[in-house]
Amino acid sequence: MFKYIVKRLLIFIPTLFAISLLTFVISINAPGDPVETMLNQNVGGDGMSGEKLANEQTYIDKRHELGFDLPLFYFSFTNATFPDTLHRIPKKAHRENLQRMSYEYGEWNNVSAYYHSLRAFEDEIFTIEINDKTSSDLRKIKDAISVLYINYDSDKTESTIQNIEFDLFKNKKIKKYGAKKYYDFLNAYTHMNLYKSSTNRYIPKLVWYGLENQYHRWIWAFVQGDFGISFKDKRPVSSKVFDALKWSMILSVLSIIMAYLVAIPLGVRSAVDKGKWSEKLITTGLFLLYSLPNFWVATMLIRYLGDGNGIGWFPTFGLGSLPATAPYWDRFFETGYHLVLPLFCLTYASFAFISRQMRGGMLNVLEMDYIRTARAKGLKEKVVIWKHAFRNSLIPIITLFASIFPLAISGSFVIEIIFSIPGMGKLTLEAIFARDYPIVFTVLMFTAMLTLVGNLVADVLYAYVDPRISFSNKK
Amino acid sequence: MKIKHLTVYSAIIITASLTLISCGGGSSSSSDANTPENVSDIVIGHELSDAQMLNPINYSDAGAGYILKNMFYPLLSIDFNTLELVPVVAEARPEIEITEDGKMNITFKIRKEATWDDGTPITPKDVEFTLKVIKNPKVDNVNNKPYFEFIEDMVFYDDDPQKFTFKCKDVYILAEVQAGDLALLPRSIYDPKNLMDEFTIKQLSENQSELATNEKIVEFATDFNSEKYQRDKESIVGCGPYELEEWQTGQKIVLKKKENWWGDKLAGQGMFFDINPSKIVYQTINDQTTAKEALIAGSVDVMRGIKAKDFQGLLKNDKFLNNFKSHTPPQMAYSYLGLNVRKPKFSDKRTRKAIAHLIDVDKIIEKIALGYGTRAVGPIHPKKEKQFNNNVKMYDYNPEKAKALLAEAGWTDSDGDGILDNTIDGEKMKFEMSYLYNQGNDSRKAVGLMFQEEARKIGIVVTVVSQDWSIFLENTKQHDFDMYYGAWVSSPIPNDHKQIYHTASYNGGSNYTGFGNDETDALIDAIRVEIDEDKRAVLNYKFQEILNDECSYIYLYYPKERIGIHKRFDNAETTAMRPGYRLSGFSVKSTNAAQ
Repeated sequence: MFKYIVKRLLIFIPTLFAISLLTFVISINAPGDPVETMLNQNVGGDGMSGEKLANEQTYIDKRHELGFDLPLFYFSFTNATFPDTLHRIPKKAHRENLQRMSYEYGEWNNVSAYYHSLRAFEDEIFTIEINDKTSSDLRKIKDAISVLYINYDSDKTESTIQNIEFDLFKNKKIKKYGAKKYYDFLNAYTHMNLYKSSTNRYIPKLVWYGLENQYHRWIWAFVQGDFGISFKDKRPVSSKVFDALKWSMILSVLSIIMAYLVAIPLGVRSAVDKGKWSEKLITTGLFLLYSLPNFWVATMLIRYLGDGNGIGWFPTFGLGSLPATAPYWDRFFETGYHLVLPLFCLTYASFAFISRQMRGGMLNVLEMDYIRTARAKGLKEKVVIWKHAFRNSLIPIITLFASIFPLAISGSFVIEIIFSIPGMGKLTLEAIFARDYPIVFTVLMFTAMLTLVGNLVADVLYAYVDPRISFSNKK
Repeated sequence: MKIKHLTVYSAIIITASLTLISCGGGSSSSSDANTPENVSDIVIGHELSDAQMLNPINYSDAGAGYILKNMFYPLLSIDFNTLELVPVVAEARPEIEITEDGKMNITFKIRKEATWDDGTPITPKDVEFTLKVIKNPKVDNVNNKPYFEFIEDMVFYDDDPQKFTFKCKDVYILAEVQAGDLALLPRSIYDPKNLMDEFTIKQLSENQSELATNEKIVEFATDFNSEKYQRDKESIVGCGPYELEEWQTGQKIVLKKKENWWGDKLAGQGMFFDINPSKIVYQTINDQTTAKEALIAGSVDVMRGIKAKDFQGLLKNDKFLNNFKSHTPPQMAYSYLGLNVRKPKFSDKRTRKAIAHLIDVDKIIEKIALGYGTRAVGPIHPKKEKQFNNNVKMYDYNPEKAKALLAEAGWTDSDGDGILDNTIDGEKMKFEMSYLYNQGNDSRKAVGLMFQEEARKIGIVVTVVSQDWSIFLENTKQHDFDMYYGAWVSSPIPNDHKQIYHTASYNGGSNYTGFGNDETDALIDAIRVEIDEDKRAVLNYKFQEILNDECSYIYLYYPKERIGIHKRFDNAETTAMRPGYRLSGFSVKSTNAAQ
């Protein structure tokens, strides 16, 4: 048994590694730019934006600070046109365009030279003083440049460059200052066109980036127990997760215990009473509950049992209003009282599920010969059911337990929002919307770990409840 | 048998939780302050989400800003009622001098009464320290840093220790507001090791990149950015009337009035010294419906941003009406439809005007905003009376006129398929466009569907597209849209149109629509530096006219806030300034207090 557990634990390592990679790849490829989201928040709610908005340099600084200017992984394996230094380009739109261009023109070095000469030309244009004579031509040139940054269509590029040339040479002042950089740019452009190659697309290429990459940074710190710092408010992830985990754990553990305590006897009863009225009543009742969506039930409970318009039996939000200095037991009861409605909403749906599983398992067992033998021996019905049949019908329930286990830390977003409980579900969802990767990664990794552990615990429990199942190689 | 033990254990846990349920009833009635019958001067305000941090320099969410305003006082601030700038820690509004080389000097004097909690007076050195923190290149306030770049240096005076001058790079209409907006920090708390002492404002303004690697700068910033200065109540200290008493993450933040606060001596001298509640509680309730129930129950005293439909329901609810007063102050904000001017389709002014004539704004206000809005004509809110141009003519809802304008611009149904077409720059195109809004915003969706229907009638195909907020933001910023629904919020300070309407903001800024030409750019630049209000009004009048004529923005409405405030606060007033009320000014009815 011990050997088996060790073996299973060893398999965890590659599994977790694969999960971490998957998590990472999915998050990085999610649409939306985390830096942008972080800098320009949605201040008024409802999509209202504030007047304070960050400028470009701020964007670059922030991107650097968060490490987004590093390569993604240890190596990349693509075709030969793939830009290996692309991650250094700050703007996401530019990056995407350059990648397309590189594919189009086949030679990243040339495209990169083109991009940098365009930037140099733009910088030069921006230093030219704006006055009556220059302003309208300068504007045209600036607009054209901004088109070039996000355009990869060669015809359009060609015509845009012709427009720039026309405006540039028409105006003496601009020509005087801008011409040199323009020729540099034109050279880079011609060079890029001249050495256009489509064969590169079919040549595989492996680029080695080494340890300075985003994935390594994260996973290495994670392994050492440093989960990073939340992008959103700069708090350590561990501190944020701990705060949230506390409430989610209380809720889920209580909810799981309650679900099992109610559902198991109901399941057993409906198996024993198969076909009777009582079974039909139980089944109908449970399925009725099962089919009610929990957000609706939660809102209804708040509306009718809460202290607003309702009869005021239960508080409807939060975890109590006593200060941290109040006596422990007062706070304990206050919090418990606040948890009644959320706990009910979290639990009621699983009654039907668990009790059906229990009923199924029990029905199988009740037909067994040894049950008949037990009855024939004249044992009391209670003993037959609870001592002989029950233990052997637990297998499906244990399997369920393995899948419920990770829920303990992932929490329930819907219930947490409706009842204003600062738990894991809320934390995770908000982190996903805010592209707060350190939190998302940490939560997903822990959920994955718990799923693995849950499965292991279930396997061990199988052997415990059913001696026929064994993991050691006995001969 | 073991299984049975397990059941017994869990039974014990459940019984425990059940007993705690039954006992809870008793303790809830003793949780004072929440019940409306109890005349408490503690005010409980509702917030939809918890503050991210209470660091007055690094915070970036609006919610934290409202809370911090009670704990950190600035030199100047805006009076909620008059919407004018008034002195707070400063003795008076500053003297502003424009030098011959086109720079600006702003001279402040600090009140003699102003002290920190330990009784030491607030001096210009404290102002300097705060500015140094903001300018520290490693301090994590990227959103704020650019707004103080204009201050290059500070001058102190030996003959008057309370006086100092900010030397500014150029003349700017917002210079006074921003210089006055420094939330003063006590050096003893925020820099116990005196790490920032050796640097000057001048150094920090000029050598940002070199100083970024300086050991002391880094050490100070690392400490300042840490969790300690975000959440620890001993370390969040300002010179305002309230101190942090308790923060239960995700639930509530409790502020307590300081005893012997320096400003008490100044009571009666303006709203910033008119402080009443002994405690202010910011209660987080994430769900609107739950929050509304909590309001009716009296668990919170103040709620803003109530959904229009819920608000109408509340106005018929006896329990609410008995205990609460409703308020609908105007909001300093406007919603609009942005058209992508630089797309060939919309390059013709007449096409854009035609679209404007297709939008029935009055119906939108009536049916979708349920009346909580007044029609908008431009970016300047009518509350800014001096700058607001009354003569700008609004686009009326008129499909016939729209048709005529489209025909003028060359849009006809030449191939008879029911969709308008046109040839622009040698390219034949059908009039098909998308309408973009941020996911989950139902009223914006409704506006889109309404427009889609109107457009269909005259031969324009509109696709209504919803996108997640961050993607919506990215697409608008990259001008990847035909039309989108947006809203801007502002404050009662002079409007600087550069961020949104200047062509320099097309790349990287917020000029999403691509509005602007030389004339408007010059006008915007002129408005930015005109500190004389009357002269600025002339420019602003013209700017509003051009905006209206160019029609790259179709202005919809200035929203009205929907607020419920408990009746026991008899002096509670609301304002156009966000969040719409000032909790620290709320006082309990004198009649009740006598009971």
